[in-house]
Order: sequence, then structure tokens, then C-alpha cells
Amino acid sequence: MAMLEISNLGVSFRTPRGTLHAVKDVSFSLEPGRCLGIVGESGSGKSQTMLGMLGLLPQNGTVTGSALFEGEELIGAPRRRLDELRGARMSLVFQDSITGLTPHMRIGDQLAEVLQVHKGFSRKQALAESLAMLEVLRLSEPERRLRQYPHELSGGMRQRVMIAMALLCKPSLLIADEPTTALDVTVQATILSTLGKLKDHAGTAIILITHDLSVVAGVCDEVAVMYGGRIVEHAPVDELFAAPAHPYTKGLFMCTPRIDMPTGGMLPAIPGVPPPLNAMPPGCAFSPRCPEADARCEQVRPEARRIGNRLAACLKVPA
Amino acid sequence: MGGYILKRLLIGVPTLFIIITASFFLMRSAPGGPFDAEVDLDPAVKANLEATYGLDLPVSGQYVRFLGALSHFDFGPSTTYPDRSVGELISDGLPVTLRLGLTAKALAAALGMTAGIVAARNRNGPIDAAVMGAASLGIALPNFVVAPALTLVFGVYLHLLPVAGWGDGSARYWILPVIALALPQIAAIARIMRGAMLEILSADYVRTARAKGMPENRVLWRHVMRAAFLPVMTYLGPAAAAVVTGSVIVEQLFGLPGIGRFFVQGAMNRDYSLVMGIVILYATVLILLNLLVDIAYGWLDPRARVK
Repeated sequence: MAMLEISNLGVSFRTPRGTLHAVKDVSFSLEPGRCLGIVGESGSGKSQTMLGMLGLLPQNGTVTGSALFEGEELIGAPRRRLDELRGARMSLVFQDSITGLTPHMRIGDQLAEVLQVHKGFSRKQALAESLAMLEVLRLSEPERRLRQYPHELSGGMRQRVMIAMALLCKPSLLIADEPTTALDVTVQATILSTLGKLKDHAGTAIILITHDLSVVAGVCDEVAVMYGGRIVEHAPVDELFAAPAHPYTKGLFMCTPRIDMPTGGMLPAIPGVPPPLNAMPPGCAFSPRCPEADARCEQVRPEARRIGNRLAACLKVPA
Repeated sequence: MGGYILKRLLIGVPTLFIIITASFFLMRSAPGGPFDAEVDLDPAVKANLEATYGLDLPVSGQYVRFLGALSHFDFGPSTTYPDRSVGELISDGLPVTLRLGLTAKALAAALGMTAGIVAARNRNGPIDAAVMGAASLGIALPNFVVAPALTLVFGVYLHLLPVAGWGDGSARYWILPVIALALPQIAAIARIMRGAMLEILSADYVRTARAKGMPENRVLWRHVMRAAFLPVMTYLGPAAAAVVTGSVIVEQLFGLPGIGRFFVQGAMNRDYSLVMGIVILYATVLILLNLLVDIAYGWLDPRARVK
């Protein structure tokens, strides 16, 4: 049995302009010790899928479908049960560490409360454990950091505090939303190797949301590419990097700089912008920007098809 | 911290001096004087009275004399209440005013914040609508409408509470004035608290706390509440200074022997020293409370702390 089994997950928001569907029909499963990368442009529904699954959508958000975590249904689970799981067996690292920590609480207290609430640790025990975690993540002067407030730390330090917070209870599932975006390369390497160790030694399953394909190549076992709220391609990482199938995935690779590229040229970009949520084309959401699209693509929405080890939702991909 | 407080207190001295000087000359420039009553006094008698109170001197001379007396905390005699010094009047009225004002403030803070929290947690629901509707009414209704209405219902119709007066100073006498004073403040605080809560509940760090699996009560008390107090404090701080002068209207309507009434009568009768005494008291308390609010800001929000 998979550790995480997502089927037909949908996320929608009630707005004054009507209901907007941010995520549609997302399905995937994840085994322990595996890392799934989710890539896609801003607004493609990457983060909303995760927030919906964890019950963390804002008040006007609704989630449908099913998310089985270790055999237990998360969608519609009572808040009390979600509280027991969140932060303990499944953790989330948010992308924005600047506003993500409570400004009036000391770092130590924000870390320690995770262990106090989930494991019933005393404050002293919990602080000692938090200190150890900050040391693992190579934060300088960890004792001092525990007594400081978020505004006294740099962005990179705060990001590592967020990661430490998520790892304290040794979760079996870690979801990291752009965890290394704000960090310089050396710190990024530390974080990524920490994630790699977790996966290999502790059997933690990881979902890594990112738009950095080099991070995906470094850590992930498989990749799901999202566009317009749907997964358009899902494949093992080596196969995807060797030969992207979906035209959108090809586009993403084209606009990633490579070391073997001729210098001085302009980096190509996918023409156009993603369609707004309230004006999705009837057919393939990528068809207006797709170099390979024809009249049928604009009218018929492609279902995801299995081709070897991968899934692709495109009429043009040969079976 | 000690250095900061000392510095702020020292800055308060020139502030107070400017307030004293400005109000002194403003009072003197108002037409009329303490002995220009409806009944014309015999010029000789009036001159005699003015000499007694030092009002025959030129204004600058009066000012110097006033400052001299003030330097040993002598506010001078009252012209409205003969044979009583301003110091005595203030120390008579202050306990009444303080009891009213502090009780009303405490009530307003407790009820207002509770109502705001309840409304925010039930946002856009019927409870929220009811609380916010009541709050709008509370802000719209002035004291001089609420106070007589309360008197009418609880004093005249139901005979539950005295209509006015201070009596022996027991709770029965100050229940209605306290309610009249507190109602608009409850309403204002409820609205401020609700707005602050709603803003903070959608903050990223609240989502982080929920993602950590913190139960909602812990999220509210540890992650939301302290930040939500800030705007309430901004409102309560300077408003608390009004506790000292009391509510002029409420004290007048309920016939209570507080400072507010002295202030009105002092101003009407051009009782210079009485008005000055109350102005100085008010200004001092306001300066101290502003300092207190700034210190409390630092306690609530570490980013505002002085190094």
C-alpha cells in the first residue's frame, strides 16, 4: 500500500466573481523513501494541491476527492485528527519564511511547542531537542537563535528554522514548498543533502514543490508537471530529463539555462501566459501557448494516458 | 530600559510646561472673568475680590505668580467654591472619577475584546452580524441618549437602581454611570479587536502554526492574541487618560461629585485655577500613559523594542 494515495483531488475557491477551480482531478501516489517533485509555473496549483490535502485552505476554499495517508482519509477528516497528524507524521515547509514565523514568539518556543504538543515533552526537553535539530541543519550559534525573535534572523536562517520545525517529530511525509528558493547555493546544498538523508535512512517520503529543475534532478525520484491546475506529465526523473513528452514540459526545459548552451544568446521563453482560472479553454489548457496544438487540442481535453513508465495528458504524444 | 524611561520622563517636562503656558493664556484670553456674574458686583467689591485672588496684576504677572505657586504644588484657591483650594477639590473628586472611569475601562476592555474575538471566530455568520450590529449601535448612540434611557428603565420604571447621585458611594449608585460610560467603548473595542483578529488569522504564520498541528485554541492564544492586542492598546492608551477627567456628560447627568463636573463648572465660571489644575492633571496622566503604551508595545511586539 502506498503511503500517500491522492485520487481526483480538486480545490476550488468561492470568490465574488464566481467559483474558481485552482486544482482539478489530481491523482498520484507516493511510496515511503521516495521523493516526488512537483514543478510548474506560479498559479499552476502546486501549492494549493498540498494545502487542500492538509486541510489548510483559506475559509473560501473547498477540497474534493480523496487523499489517503497511510490508509487514512484526510479529506473531510475532523480538525482534531488533522492536528494530530500535521506537524507530527506529515509536515509542511512553507515557501515564505519571512512572514511564516510568529513575530512575537521566540524561535525556541516556536520549535519547542511542536514537541510539547505532539510528544508531550517538557519545555526543557523540547528545547534541547530543537537545539540538536538546528545543529543538524548547520545553523550558526544555535543556542542564541533559540532565544531570538524571527526578525533578528536572516532569511536563510529563518528558512532553516522552518525546516527544523517540520523535521522535529520525524514525519513519515515531508512536503516542502520551495524550501531552498531564498537560500544561497551552499546552504541549499546542505538542505538538499539533509532531505536526501531523510529519504534514504529514515524512509521519509518527500514531496518537493519547486520551479527549479536542477533541484528536481538532484533529489527527486519522480516528477509531476502541473499546468492550469492539472498534472500534465508524471514520470520517473531520469526518463523525464532524458525525453520530456508533453509540449509544456519540453518548453520548461527549453527555458532552463544549461552549461552546454552557446553563450550570448537569449534564453527562449514559452510565449504567452497561463490562462486565468475563470477563462480556461475548453480543450487542453496549454493549447493557446502550445507550438504543436491544432484545432482538436482546443476543443478536446486530453486525458492522462500511460506510456511506458510515464503518464502524459496530451493528444499529440504518441502512445 | 531604565534610561529610556528617564529620557521620556524628562521630555515630558517641557511638554507639560508648554501645555500649562498655552492653557494659561488661552483661559485668560476668553472673555469675562470669575466675578462677572449675572448680578453686577459693586466695582469696589469686585476690585477687592480681584486683589484677593491676584487678578489685579497684569496677565504676565499673574503667570509668574501662578508658576511660583505651582513649583510647590499649590494650584491656588478656587473662585467657584470659596474657601476651597483646587488641590482639595481635585482630591475630593478624583476617587469618584477614578472609580467610575477605571471600572468602565476594565469592563469595556474585557467585554469588548471578548465580543471581538467571538465575532471574528464566527466571521460572516449570524453571531458576527449580531455582535457587529450591536457594536455599530453602541458607537452611534451618544452618552446623553443612553444615560437617560438607562435611568428611565432601571431607575424610574423598574425601581432597581437609584436615578442619580452618589449616596454612600456603594455599587448601586455607580452601576448605571459605569454602563453608560462603558457602552460606546465596548462597541469600539469590539470592532477594533474583530478587525485585528481577522487580519492576523489570515497571516502566514497562523497557517504555519496550524500546519504544525497546533490546536485552534493554542493558535489563538499563543500566535494570534498578542498581535491582536496592539490596535486595541493604541485605542485604550490615550483613551484611558480620559478616566481622570471623567466623562463630563455622564457625571453631569447622574449628578456625580467627580472631576468632570468641576471641570465644566470651572470653565463656565472662568475659575482659572480650577481649570488649570485639572488641565495639568490631565496632561500629566496623558504623558505617563503614552509612555506606558509605548513600553507595552515593546512587550507585545519584540520588533518595537528599544535597544
